[in-house]
Amino acid sequence: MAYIITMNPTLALMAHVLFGVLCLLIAVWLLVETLYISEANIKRVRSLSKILSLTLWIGYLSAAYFYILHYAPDKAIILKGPWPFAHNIFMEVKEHVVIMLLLLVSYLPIAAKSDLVQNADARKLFITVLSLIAFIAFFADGFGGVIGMGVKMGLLAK
Amino acid sequence: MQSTSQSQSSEGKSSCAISYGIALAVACLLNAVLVVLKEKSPATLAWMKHATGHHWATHTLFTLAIFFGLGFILSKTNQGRGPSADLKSVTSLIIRNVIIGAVIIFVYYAFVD
Repeated sequence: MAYIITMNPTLALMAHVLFGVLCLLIAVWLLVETLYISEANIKRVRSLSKILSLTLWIGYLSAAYFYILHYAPDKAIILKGPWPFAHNIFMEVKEHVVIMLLLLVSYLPIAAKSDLVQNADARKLFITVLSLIAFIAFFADGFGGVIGMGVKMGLLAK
Repeated sequence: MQSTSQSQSSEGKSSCAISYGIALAVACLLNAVLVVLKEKSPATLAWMKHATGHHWATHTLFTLAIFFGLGFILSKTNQGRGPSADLKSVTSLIIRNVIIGAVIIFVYYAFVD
């Protein structure tokens, strides 16, 4: 899979979007599971926490591959086009705020190890981290849309 | 006896959540500070580019190192019991620092840069 992605940068970009959205969906699913947590679903919550973490890591690494090696031409198109803010604000903010998202998803499986069923404070911490993940992932998705539009506007203006 | 053992195990897992929670909050804040630092200091930006080939890769690795490194160190303090903070205050710290970090980054690129 890594070979296929490195052969086609667009696939890396699509994988980034796919895994990013998947991360958001799993975060919402986990939120609901945690609101109704019991001994019956605690194992699922812990497994899903690890899956969510892995999902975002894959999305992040595929984004890193595209951004570091293949984003420069898109950046030039955006900056010469009518929407330079798509890079100057949206891309710059996104690329640095998602580092916090990576930290939050890396922390999630650690927070999931606490006694979420009996300990209300541990549960609140877990729900807080999940909410922050969902919130940031939602905005990252929207910001990605603006960046994509920035490239489109730049190409249309040519 | 089994109940005591289970309670100690549960405390140990919560202490990990506390240690790495504090590390998470610190790393989120340092992430934003590093954004301003590298944008304001060409020498820092050049060093970050030189370190891994791309400033953003260095930025990510630095932030992850702070999170995992500080979390590990904190979890070993207090004879392995971790910091004597409670989960409530760690929750507040995480919310506060994530919001402050995000606001610093947004305000910097939207209004300062």
